[in-house]
Amino acid sequence: MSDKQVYEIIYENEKVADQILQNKALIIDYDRKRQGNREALRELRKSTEKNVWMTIGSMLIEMERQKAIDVITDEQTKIDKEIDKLRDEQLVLVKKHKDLEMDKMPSGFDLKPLSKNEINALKSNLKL
Amino acid sequence: MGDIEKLEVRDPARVERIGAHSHIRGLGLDDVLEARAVSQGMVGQKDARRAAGIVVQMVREGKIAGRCILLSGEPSTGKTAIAVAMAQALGSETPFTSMSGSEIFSLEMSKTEALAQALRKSIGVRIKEETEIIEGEVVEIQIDRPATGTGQKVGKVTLKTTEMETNYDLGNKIIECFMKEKIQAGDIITIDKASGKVSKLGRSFTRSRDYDATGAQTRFVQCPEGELQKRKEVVHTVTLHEIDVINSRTHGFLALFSGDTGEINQEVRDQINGKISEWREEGKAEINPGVLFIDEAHMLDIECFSFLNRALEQDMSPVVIMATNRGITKIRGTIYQSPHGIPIDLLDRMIIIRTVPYAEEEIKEILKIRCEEEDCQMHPDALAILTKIATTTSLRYAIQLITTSNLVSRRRKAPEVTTSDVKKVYELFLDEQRSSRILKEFQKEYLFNEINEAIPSPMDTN
Repeated sequence: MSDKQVYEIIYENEKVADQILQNKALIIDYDRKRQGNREALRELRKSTEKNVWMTIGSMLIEMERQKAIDVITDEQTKIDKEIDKLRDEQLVLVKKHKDLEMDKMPSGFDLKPLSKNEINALKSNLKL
Repeated sequence: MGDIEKLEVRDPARVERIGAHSHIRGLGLDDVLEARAVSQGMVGQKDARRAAGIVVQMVREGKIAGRCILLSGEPSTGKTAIAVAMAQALGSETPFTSMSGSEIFSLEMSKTEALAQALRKSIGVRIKEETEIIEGEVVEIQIDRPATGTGQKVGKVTLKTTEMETNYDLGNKIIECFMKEKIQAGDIITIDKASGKVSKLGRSFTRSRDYDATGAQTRFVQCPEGELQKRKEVVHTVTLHEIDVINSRTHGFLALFSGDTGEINQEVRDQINGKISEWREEGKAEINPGVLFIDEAHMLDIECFSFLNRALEQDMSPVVIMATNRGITKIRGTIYQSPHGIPIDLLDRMIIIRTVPYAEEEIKEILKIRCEEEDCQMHPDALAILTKIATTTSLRYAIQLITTSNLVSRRRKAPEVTTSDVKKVYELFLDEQRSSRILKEFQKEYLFNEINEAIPSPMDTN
């Protein structure tokens, strides 16, 4: 293998690895936001005030309690979708990384997961 | 009064059985599948090991499902050893079922059923399970019991990982789980989001110095990293036989009358096959064909062979490896003779790997490895004598002499086995040739002896 080819492989390798680590940090940030939102939702649902104060970006806004709950719930669903998307992307990237290193992924991880009923049926009868 | 030897109390659960092939760790091949002279417990037999290595590679890539391989050779040439080595080389991922030919014959079920079950035990199905879990270290936990007798408990728990921290309000049910597991601050826990199950992984390292004395069961674990809510994916391998058994269990009072015959209905099997194909199409399952090893394959009869012919051509079928040391013998169940006692049409479908008797150097290496395995120190002269014995009699006999001479040498409190020990054991325990010679001489003295001029020759194993 010529020097140029080796250099290219290493370059590709580092790029993919960097992307994987970036995604990892992104997932952590999203999860932090998600937990924060969850705590906020809990407090809002428990409180009985008509108007509540909320920070959006760097602005402090007063709005009705119900509207605030809706805004936060919307953001939660968006974050959930983003995190799932990132996790699926991670699987693809790790596979690509392993390919570049001429290594094999542990088998079975590119299967679709079984539904809850199916897994419970198997688990209750076998030692899984 | 002499020394009373101390009674050795050995815990039976911990004693590992040292079997005839327990020294084998793998095939001992290098990266280009060439056999090393002495490696991973295997010695010599380079061609057969190389062939076995190629077979292992093909099984791993899933390329020879439904093929049949025959290991044939003289007795004590390493056929079973190679099969054990292949099992080790394939690893725990691939289903490897090992059986002897005579295991087919059982009162509980018919021969073809026993074979069908053995074949299904060797085919694995890979499935994936995905769950969302919350994993973190408990910073503090606070549970309030209501002042009045009745009423729900309320609680709050703060969980953290190395990157973040959050708190949760707990409902009644999950508070009960927490109290059952006796979770306190500093424990690392996992909460399954879907089922609400709480399990304790251990205690955090940072809290290891909290107490002077902790229970024997306490495990110390690192604080989890990353996000709190993780996605956990687990890949399981289930064999087709296990799925068959689940679905064929008769439930209810009918089981009292019919009982568990052990036979599985073909309809159940067809249903299972259909369902698995469905899953494969949906991308939810993968077939992982494994290996079925049948030792002493000459014990199978003509019906089993016909069944195997058909079974190997099925859609989902494992690799079948057979081993036999018979030459041209009668096929069981017929009057016809055939090489290895296997019908020629099945032989035609097989890849045959030949094993040859060992050379003296190789026998010496094997005996050395067995001595190590059986924890026996041997003087080089004693080893030389043992090698001589092995070449004149048989390898198995020499291996038996290792443990026996070890015991004799320990009796005299010697550090290692010497030639005198080996000689003594050689005189005490007879091998097959000496025993049959003595038998021929003194057969009149033995009970129930047939007084014939022509003594029937021993089993033809050429």
